[in-house]
Amino acid sequence: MSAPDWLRAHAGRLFLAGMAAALLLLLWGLAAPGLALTGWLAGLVFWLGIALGAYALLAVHALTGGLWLAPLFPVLAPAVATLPVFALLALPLLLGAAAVWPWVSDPSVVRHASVVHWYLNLPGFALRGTVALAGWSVFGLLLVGGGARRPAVGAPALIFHAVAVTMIGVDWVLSLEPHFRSTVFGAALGLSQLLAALAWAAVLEPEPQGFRGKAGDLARLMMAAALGAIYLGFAQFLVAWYGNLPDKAAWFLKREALPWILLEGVSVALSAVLPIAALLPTVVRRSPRALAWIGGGVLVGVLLHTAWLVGPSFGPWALLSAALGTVAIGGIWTGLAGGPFAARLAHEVPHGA
Amino acid sequence: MSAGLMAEFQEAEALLRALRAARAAGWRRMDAYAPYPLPEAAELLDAHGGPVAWIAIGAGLCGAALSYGTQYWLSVHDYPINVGGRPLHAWPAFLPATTIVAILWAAAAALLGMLALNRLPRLHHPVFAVPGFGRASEDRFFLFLSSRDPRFRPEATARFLHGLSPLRVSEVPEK
Repeated sequence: MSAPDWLRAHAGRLFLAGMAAALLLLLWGLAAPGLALTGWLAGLVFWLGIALGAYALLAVHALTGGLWLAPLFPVLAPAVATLPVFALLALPLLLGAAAVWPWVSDPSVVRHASVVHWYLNLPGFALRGTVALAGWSVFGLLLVGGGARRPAVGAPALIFHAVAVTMIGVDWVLSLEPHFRSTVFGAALGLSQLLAALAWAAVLEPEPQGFRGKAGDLARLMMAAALGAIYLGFAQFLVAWYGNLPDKAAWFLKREALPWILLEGVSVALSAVLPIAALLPTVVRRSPRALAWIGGGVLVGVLLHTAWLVGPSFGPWALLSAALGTVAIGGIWTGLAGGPFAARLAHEVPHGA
Repeated sequence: MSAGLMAEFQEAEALLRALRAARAAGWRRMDAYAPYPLPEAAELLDAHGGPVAWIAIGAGLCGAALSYGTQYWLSVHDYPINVGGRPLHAWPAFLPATTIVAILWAAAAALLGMLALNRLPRLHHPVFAVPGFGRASEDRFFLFLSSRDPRFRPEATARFLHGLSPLRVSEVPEK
């Protein structure tokens, strides 16, 4: 049984498991709303990241054309088609924003009043989130609608994505600690999403029917995305390290403490060293089995990195809530993406160049 | 005494068919020429780029070690400067140059290694004596069977090649 078939067959159970984890988080949230919602945020950033990485790949393909996307389309298209689901899944965060983002209840944590006035305020936050999720959903549905080269859809979809992913990266993740700034954060987030989407495809279907012997293409894409993600991630660290300014140092120092440093260490090993080193030999690149394992490692690495980004503001218990949030959103999303959405797409959408 | 026989084909598919037939007949000392890469032909010829990869990795690691070592020696031993209290062994700042030099060395070694393994540059090769061989870089496909293969018999081999419906079969001189 292939992985997508397994997902389809277990969609109902996955959905229930997700709902159960969500219920646990809800109960936890009654006692400690900040911790529970952080876990939800970590799960959302991770799974939305897979869908957005798929969105970016589809958009690039709509712009450039070519056969390279065809083997990935059956896995990536359902992920993109479910983008509207994330708009619903993001609602709890909007309702409980005051418990997660410090500047919501106390705008004075932001140093400059003009930043609060023009950007970092709750109405603006809600508006940007709505625009981003709505735009992704609409463009996503357009992108899923056909496999042909359509620059008129691909170009605006990519431009929108570049702006939206930076905005959401700043709003949802960076503003957890509003004193930290990093101009490359959005790009780094976007690249790791690309990597996660490719890894998702590798786990589910590295070599679908009709594309035997083509696994090497996916392997190369994954390798390039891993190189890009680690490059931008490291550049961000290097700039902060060299600049040696108190606010940036504080952000990294918090993440250099236990247990977070372990998370990031394992994440770098799994999402950067593993795909780059293990995919060097041609034999490994051509083996769908090896690709699936490496893809799984990459996904775990990206997940740990997400927890490393989001969790430290809330202490080590955020690890548990992040695990719950990942199961909750992952269960609900794969239940939908693997089940009804994938089945519909399999019938309606021709996979083409 | 000739170096072998060369058959000329109109299409890539014809060359691949001929290669498959030659391989099935037990030929091992042979070569193929085409205007663009034919991955299947490389497989049929047992041609591997493997050694180039190892040369590149080895050179890349040497370059990385040399670059990192130079930066370390300069900053820690030869000319230590306190830059705003940062450690002398400033590994984050050393990594970009280390990576760049590693890639430079690996790329250069891959190029040089490829040339060396192909015994290039070389001013002349006997295959250029074959009439019309210049079109191997335009629109024709060639299969070469070497006389050093134990199965080589001038007449039988020529018959075998003619059986593969080539445009023509020519002799490749020894030098």
